[in-house]
Amino acid sequence: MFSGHWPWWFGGPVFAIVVVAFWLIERRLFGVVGQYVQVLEPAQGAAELDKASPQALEEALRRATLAEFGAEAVAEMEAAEASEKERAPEPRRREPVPRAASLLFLAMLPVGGAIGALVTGQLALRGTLGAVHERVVASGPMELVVLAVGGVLVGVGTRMAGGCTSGHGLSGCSRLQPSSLIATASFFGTGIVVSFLLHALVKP
Amino acid sequence: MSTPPTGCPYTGSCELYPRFSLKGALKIWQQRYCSHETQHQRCARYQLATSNEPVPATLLPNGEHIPTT
Ligand code: SF4
Repeated sequence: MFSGHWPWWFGGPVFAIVVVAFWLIERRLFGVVGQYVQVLEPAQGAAELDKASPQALEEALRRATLAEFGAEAVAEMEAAEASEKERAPEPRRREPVPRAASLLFLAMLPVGGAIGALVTGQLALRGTLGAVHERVVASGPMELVVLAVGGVLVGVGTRMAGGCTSGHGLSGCSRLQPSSLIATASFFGTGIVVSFLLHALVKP
Repeated sequence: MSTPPTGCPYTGSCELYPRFSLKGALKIWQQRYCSHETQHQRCARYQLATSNEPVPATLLPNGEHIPTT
């Protein structure tokens, strides 16, 4: 069915399905960098919260609640809660999404890539991005070093920008977030300019 | 799977949202921020999450931190 690259009319709707399904299942905005962050950098203070005994945490939260809303509002809330409990059973609590879910997501990325390559008949282990890359950028072991450094720079850049192509490009742009619109315009714009430059360089 | 239809979109991933159900009085945070049609946008956690910044687990919607010690 597909040879070479997958057609845009297939990839676009699939991306849309993934973003919407992600939201429906996890109630989170889709973003690959966000998944890395979830795995590598658990929320600051999460360990403290987990370490604190439930009673101590409840007490700390209660103090903060009283300070923010005042004793009267809190007492009203407790009274309303008590009378509601009499009428209806307590609804099921929503638990935070476990870190294992992000780990599974990341582990499946290369699997998905491999399936895509298999379908288009391109599955092969390569140590190069191709002849043009070798000619313009570097070849041999140096090409691998350049790719590794490039990967690190992409990681640093996406963290600085607060998201990557999926987070800003798919989730952010679809919500018309100004920061995402600017980020996406910047990295796609830069990509287009660089690709034209490379094209000019490799012209015979 | 249900989330307040007009409330905060981060209820599923927020570290504190489930903890606000621990006791009756704490639900006031959910009422005044998380489930509120517009007030959830004032939440310090919401604002950080929206700008893709890491959200400290102890950060309260009003910008204060839970004193855990
Ligand atoms: S505490 Fe803030 S970020 Fe968390 S669910 Fe409530 S409004 Fe959203």
